[in-house]
Amino acid sequence: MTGHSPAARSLTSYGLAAATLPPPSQALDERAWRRLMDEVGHQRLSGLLAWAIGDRCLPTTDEQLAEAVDAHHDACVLAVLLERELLEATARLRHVGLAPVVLKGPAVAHTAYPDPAIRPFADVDLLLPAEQMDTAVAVLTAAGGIRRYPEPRPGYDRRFGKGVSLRMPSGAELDLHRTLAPGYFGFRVDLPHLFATTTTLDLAGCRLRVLGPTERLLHACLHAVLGDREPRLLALRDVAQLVSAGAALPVVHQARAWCIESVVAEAITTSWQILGLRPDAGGDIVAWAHSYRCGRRQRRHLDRYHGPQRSSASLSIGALGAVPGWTGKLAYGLDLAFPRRSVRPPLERWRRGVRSLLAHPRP
Amino acid sequence: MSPAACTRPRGPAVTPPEPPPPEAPPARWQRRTSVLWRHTLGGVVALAPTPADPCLLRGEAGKVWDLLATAGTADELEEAGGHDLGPVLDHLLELGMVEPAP
Repeated sequence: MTGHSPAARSLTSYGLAAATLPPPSQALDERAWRRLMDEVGHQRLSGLLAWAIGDRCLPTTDEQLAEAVDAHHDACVLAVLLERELLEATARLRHVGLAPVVLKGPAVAHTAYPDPAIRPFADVDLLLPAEQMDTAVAVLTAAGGIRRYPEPRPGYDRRFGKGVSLRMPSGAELDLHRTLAPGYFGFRVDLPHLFATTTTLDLAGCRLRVLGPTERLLHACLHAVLGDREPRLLALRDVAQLVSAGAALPVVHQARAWCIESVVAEAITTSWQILGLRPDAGGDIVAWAHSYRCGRRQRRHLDRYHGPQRSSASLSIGALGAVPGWTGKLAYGLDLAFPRRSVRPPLERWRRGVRSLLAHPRP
Repeated sequence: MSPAACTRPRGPAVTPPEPPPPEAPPARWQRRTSVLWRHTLGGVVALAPTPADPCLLRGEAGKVWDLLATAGTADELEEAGGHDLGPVLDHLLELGMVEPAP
């Protein structure tokens, strides 16, 4: 069913009321432990590992305990350093009148989990209104940030891009988002709605904007299903965590309004399946997700995000249909077809994109 | 107004002895709001706002940090901790992790 070890799946569901996968009853042997620690590193599960060990629900040898303590310590050091970067970046942006919204790691860690130490993260993500993207990039590059990828054509970031990734002088990665997902589904998100429904989070004495609870779950679903070729365990845990915190059917209504029901249903059913959660737990939204039938059109859009055929080119081409207006589609198509010479992708990447598109023809 | 009311007393002015200053209330301490921190199995990872590296508050330092979830005096810390935690409190002050409570 998945390539994840039973211990990693059990660990990912640790602490959820709906969990059914028992943690190992005795210390893992060396081979199983090494595999688990590889998954802990790759899937960012060190917080859940520390939680389970601290509760004496995961037996370890002394050496294993020391390794787990070190892994969690390193993750927590990174988390506080990134939070300092977040506070500095937010202050800079506010200073010029911008109003960023904190996404993903810090927002979820502090709002959804019983202890933020359970939820590590590796970068900082901020959402900005499209019209503020250029200013935000200018402010942060003036502060020493370096774009990881150049803008394909002037105006692309604020009109069509998912976001801009910056490497800050400290080495931290800071992503400025225009929307919540790459490709087709990123264009389906109602961006003004996101900014109209924010709430706040107090972090180290600073009041930060975060998505509203409904939108936070929708974003977790988008990230879990569309963020990588294969869903990451921590992203699936975020979905389960937010659903278990009391998600209700308004989430489905919002998903329907954005035409992302298929993504939400897949995120919830995949989380429940891989984490081995009780199907009768989680309330109406879980029952809805298990009964949802994905149409062919939605299935084809989803398939573009999965498997080896996924590429930025195929996602970009596949999004053309969701770009609003004919002039918008034309401008988007021109930006993709004729990027600046310095950012022109190798011809083979475009060939792969077209091949992927042909494999999943436009609905 | 009677004349007596506007006359000054003759002779050297006598200043009544000042009452002893009221005993200052003991200082109360709290976690510095701007510290970023996490609980780990090995202690508390904490990062003060001044440019500095995160540090690990182990043992008694982590214990004091936990006790300061609510502001308290050194005496109250001692009472809760079972012995004098003043030196640990001083150390946290030096690190910029603790501040006077309002």
